[in-house]
Amino acid sequence: MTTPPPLPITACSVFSACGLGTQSLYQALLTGKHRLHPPRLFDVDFPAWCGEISNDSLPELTPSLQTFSTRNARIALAAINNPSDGLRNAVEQAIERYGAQRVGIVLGTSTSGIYETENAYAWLDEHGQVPASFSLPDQHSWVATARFLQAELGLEGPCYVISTACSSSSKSLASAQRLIATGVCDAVLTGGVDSLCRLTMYGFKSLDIMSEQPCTPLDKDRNGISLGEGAGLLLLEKPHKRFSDCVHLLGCGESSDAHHMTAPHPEGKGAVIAMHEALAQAGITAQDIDYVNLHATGTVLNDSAEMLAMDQVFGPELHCSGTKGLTGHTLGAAGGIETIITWLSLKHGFRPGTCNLKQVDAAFHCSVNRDSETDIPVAFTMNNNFGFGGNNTSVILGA
Amino acid sequence: MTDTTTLSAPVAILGSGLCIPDEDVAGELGFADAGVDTSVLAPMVRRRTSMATRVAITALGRACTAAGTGHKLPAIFVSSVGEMQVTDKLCRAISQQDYPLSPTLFHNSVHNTAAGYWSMATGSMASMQAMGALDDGFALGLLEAWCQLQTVTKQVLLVVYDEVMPEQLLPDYAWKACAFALLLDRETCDRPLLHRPIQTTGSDPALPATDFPARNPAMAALPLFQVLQQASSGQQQITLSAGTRPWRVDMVMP
Repeated sequence: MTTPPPLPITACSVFSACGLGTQSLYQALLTGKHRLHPPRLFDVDFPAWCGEISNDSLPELTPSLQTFSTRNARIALAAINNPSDGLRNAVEQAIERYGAQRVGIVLGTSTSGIYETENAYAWLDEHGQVPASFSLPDQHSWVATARFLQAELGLEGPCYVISTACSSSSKSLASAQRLIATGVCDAVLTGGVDSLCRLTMYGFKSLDIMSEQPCTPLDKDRNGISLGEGAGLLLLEKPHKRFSDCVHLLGCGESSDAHHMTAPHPEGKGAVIAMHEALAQAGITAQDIDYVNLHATGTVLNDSAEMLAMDQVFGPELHCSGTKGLTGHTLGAAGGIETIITWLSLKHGFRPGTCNLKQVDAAFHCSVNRDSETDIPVAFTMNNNFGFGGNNTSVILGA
Repeated sequence: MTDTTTLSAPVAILGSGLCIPDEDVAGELGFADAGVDTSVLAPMVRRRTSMATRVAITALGRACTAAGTGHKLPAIFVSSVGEMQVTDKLCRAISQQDYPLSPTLFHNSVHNTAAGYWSMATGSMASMQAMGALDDGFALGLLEAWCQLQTVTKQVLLVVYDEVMPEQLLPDYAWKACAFALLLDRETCDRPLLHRPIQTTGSDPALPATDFPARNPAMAALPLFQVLQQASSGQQQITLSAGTRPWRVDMVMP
């Protein structure tokens, strides 16, 4: 077997409640003030907070690709086109360098265009059929937003979507890494995108894990999640000396809990396997990691199980934090957005704090950062994401 | 970085299994005993699962039985829309504002529902992948499996499946539920071999130019499974998807 080599992240872009672009996200992380508010996109009949992107900031799709028009696709398009991160330009350079057939796309999403499907069902109730603008393959199907970006950017390589709930877009990074490591592709656009919808909002409410206040991950009084939406997109390329200054993807670990559809393994057993696998693939030890972005959703059970897993892998000196108090839990986009947060940690030599944290749960032994720390050396980072079905992923980046 | 040419290595099919619950459809396609068998699931779980999850788990179970191994392996689940019947119920509840939603329906609507139940039933703590690529799903599932076999695992399970679509979403078509599963091994042996799937130019005249949504996208696995069933020796190229740049795979029968 071939261990995947370190792969350069040659460009990335992000869009969330913290604004458009990696610089906006960095500033928001430094400030540490949450961007959550009650939902505006639709009404809900219970108190909730979410990290929502305003409709005004969503671009329209080009007329020839209107069939793909969903909230998901529009969020992804904004991230791609954001000039300050130059992701679109980097993709175009990759096409020029390798040829369109050598550039693939593997995206993560948990919602795809379900918001539009919900609207189509409302129309169905009134008119007896779904609206003419609705397309099951181009809006609702899992691959819809990836197919849109493929057409928008002129990519001709493999195009697919990973959907494993909240680990979707960290798993997409692992698939993208393998496509390059095996020589199938020379570059892959990866990461993920998810959008707010009633199904997830009322769904998590039905599980009784929606926080009535802005969520407070890792806090002793944490009481559930706040949802978010957004895109975190990264371009991975095959290694080359021209990319020696880039942050590199060093290792991915993937595992299952084999325990429960919604509750994590109580001792974090699957999470430990994923973290160990990622470390082994990266060829480093737990002591080498300078910062871990935790999954830290803010539910009592999730955070406890994750911190038990952390204790089994890391010592008390390990610095970690959770950032969903800032962005909301962006579900299928969390892996992309939070991997970009670890990319920012490496780029700027800083460790983000844990937004909304007042008093850390005394049961946690690792060093949880409440406030951001700047001007520190960061050489290796890890990002954890865990999803329904007991689906675990860890992603390690290096400077 | 390994040279591309050294990594076109074929992988072996150690076992295969399928599930086509409609006996008429299974019969027309030449398959017998293709009904649902979810005995691997606990009875309470079995009652709660959708047809999508049932056909996927049935086909995987049969592939493991045929291979005499495999329950603890990493697995790749491929479906174009996944748990559509569950999603349909939730979307109807939402449009009627019939809240609260059912928590069971909600967690059974995620695309990795079948993957989660399979891992719980088998006790496998390996990676469970859930992916989608519409009519390219089987081809790209095979590619994902091939990539995993070159990098992270010696053996892997792959299942491609789709269930019946709600009539109002695809009114002109009646998909039939089906699932096709393979247990693949990195070491080649005296078994059917698959090379790396490749994307080619020039559509296959035997297939319509655009195949979606006339038939269940998981049916893209049918040509390969028919060759497996015929078991005639020799090498041939099998078409895995339709369109102007279809995916194909070279298959060698022992």
